[in-house]
Amino acid sequence: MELKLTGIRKHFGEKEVLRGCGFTFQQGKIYGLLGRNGAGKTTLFNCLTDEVPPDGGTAELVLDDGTRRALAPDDMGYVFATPILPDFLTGYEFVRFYMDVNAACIRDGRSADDYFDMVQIAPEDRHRLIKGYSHGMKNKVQMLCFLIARPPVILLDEPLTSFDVVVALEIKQLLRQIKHEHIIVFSTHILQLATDLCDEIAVLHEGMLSQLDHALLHSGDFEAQLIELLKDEGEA
Amino acid sequence: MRQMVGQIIKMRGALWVNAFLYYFSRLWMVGRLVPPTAYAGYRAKKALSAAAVAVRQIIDLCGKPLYLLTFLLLPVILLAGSRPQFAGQEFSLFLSMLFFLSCILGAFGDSHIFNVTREKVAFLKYLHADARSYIQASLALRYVPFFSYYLPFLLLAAWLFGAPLWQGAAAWVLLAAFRMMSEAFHLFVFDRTGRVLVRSTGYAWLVIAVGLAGAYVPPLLGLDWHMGLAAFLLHPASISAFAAAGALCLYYIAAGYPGYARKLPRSLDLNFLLSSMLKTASGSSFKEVEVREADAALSPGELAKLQRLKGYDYLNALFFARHRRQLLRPVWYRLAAAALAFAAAAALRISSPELAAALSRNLTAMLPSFVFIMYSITVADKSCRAMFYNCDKDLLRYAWYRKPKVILRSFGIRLRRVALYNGLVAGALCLAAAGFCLISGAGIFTADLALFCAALLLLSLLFTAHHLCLYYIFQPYSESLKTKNPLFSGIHAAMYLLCFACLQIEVGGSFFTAVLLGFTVLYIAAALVLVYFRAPRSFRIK
Repeated sequence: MELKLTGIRKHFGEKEVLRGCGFTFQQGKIYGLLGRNGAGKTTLFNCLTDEVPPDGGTAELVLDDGTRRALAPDDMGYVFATPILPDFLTGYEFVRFYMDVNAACIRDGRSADDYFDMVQIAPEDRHRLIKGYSHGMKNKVQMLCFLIARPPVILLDEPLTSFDVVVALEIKQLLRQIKHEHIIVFSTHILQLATDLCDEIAVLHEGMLSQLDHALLHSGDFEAQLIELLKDEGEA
Repeated sequence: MRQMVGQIIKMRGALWVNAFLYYFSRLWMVGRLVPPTAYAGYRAKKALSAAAVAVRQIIDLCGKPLYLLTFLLLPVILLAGSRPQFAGQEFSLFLSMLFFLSCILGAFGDSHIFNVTREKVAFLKYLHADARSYIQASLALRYVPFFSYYLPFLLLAAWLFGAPLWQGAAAWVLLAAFRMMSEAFHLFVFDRTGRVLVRSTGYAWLVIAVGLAGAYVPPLLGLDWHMGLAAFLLHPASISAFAAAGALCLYYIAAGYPGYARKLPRSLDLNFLLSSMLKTASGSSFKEVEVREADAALSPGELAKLQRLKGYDYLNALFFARHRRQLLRPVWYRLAAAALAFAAAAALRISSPELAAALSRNLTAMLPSFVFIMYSITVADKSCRAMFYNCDKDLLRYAWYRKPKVILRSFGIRLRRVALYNGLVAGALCLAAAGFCLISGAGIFTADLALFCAALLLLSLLFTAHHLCLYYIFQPYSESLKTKNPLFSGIHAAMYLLCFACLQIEVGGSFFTAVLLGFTVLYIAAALVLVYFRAPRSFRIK
């Protein structure tokens, strides 16, 4: 399975943020999406998830048998940089609700508590209002959404920055475990995380997406070369 | 201090001009005239800022005579005209009213030192400006024009009422002295207790009550207390004492108080921002709809009922259970109003039995008026705001929540529940009407009453569907709960006018109820179709 983006364009006012992005993401790989502040990483995710309509371009899923279909909202799980969850529910109630509406996707007869165990939310915290959750706990609940629904494409916007080192390591391991069945794209500014977790690096620069040479990923001057690549023409 | 005055003026200008450009650029059509680069046009912004300062001063200057004319001069003229005993006492009456309205209500009901403004937050919290210098400059900018603009008009008032000009000047001294005393009083209380009195609802209402009652009640009752009060206030000893007290207080607030730097920043509670727009931005306007930790507790019975539900039924049931405080409070108010309406009807039955009997036999004649009443008392609008802020604002970010079937399902669940709330109010009004018919001798098993009640219930359902449908089709709120869709506001205004126009209709009875029934059924059917096809595109975060 592949996610194929062709000519995705988006502008806000006079500013053209995405200038015809094209890229092919493959199943079984974790992609790090790198770009400078304001480069359009979140906009690209928002366009893919129908949060904001793109001005043009297509996003398609190419299945293993070669058939293509337009990317649908149900095909994606999106973890927002700032967790967005309904405050009036307890964590447990939200997960139960989410399991109800995604009942067909639940594997191995897992219960809500099983999912909470996966992200290490303590039993006593599960029944507190989300309103009182810390940023990290809310982020964990967001993560549970894609662990429950298991959509083909998982988009993560700056996902691991709010986790403590223990949970961050566990989430990284979790992503590695499930990556074979998914296309995982996450945006980050943390280069160490990108080199540590990602199989490929996609760079969003001046409105265009390009793939970084895989060999560069583990080379010693990765950081220097990436910075050189991301510099504006005037800065270079 | 001079430097700080200059900085405050610059800051105010920049804040005002940037806000003006921002909101102007968002206007339909004309907004395009403001390019995104307008914020960088510093020369133009400087000119706009100077214009804003000038306009502000003109507004302040014009506000003084307007206030004196509306709240003091006109009441004095009317009272003197209607009560011969007040003839020739106009200035005394004016002065006593000024004392209660401006020296008590105006002065003690407000505190410039503790007003929370965007500018004050910027200077004290973000720029860490010296609090004492800021307060000195801010007080000067506030009170120098304030007192300067009042002086000529108070002299003019004295001249108009035939009093010597020095009495007008004495009134001005009182006004200034009490303002300073009030500022010093609030500062002293804050210093000793940590409380900002003007933010206490009880204190605010007490000041309002004393001010209004002192100003208007005695003369309305024909009492001439104002003569004694004016004589006391205008006595040279009193004026000297008030002026001295005012001067001492001015010294205390401007130079003598040592704790500004340490204590004043603690008083900047963003929930008390002056502008309603800023209140919204700071979140205080959410208080009436937001969920609290205490709302999380559900009774065992409620929990058992919830456990049987699944998916969107479960989500919405939890929403209504956790927001019963916000959603049911307006219902209780309306039920109390229905009980009061019944009490008024019972009073009519006692005072005028013939009129009560005639009314009770022809309730349906009043139905057109009830269109407007039912529109005004619907709780659907509040419910929609609570739904948006506490639930949809978050879940609408997820694509699965915006699918047509999901939207239609939630719409149906919510329509039923909010219709129940409005139905309770309509039912209470029906009960009040039935009680009225019973005590007036018309009986309760009449076609007239049945039609009346059916129409009320239909109206409550219609306005529930109306508000909910508009919410789903336009989703008018921004994340700060401000209504952003002009079409939504326009349709609401049109509906309001239509309901208001119904007051003029003279058709009641079965015809009215039949038309209403047909209209309600058609409206709900159209709402469901529109919500299914239109809402997936429009029911989003703006």
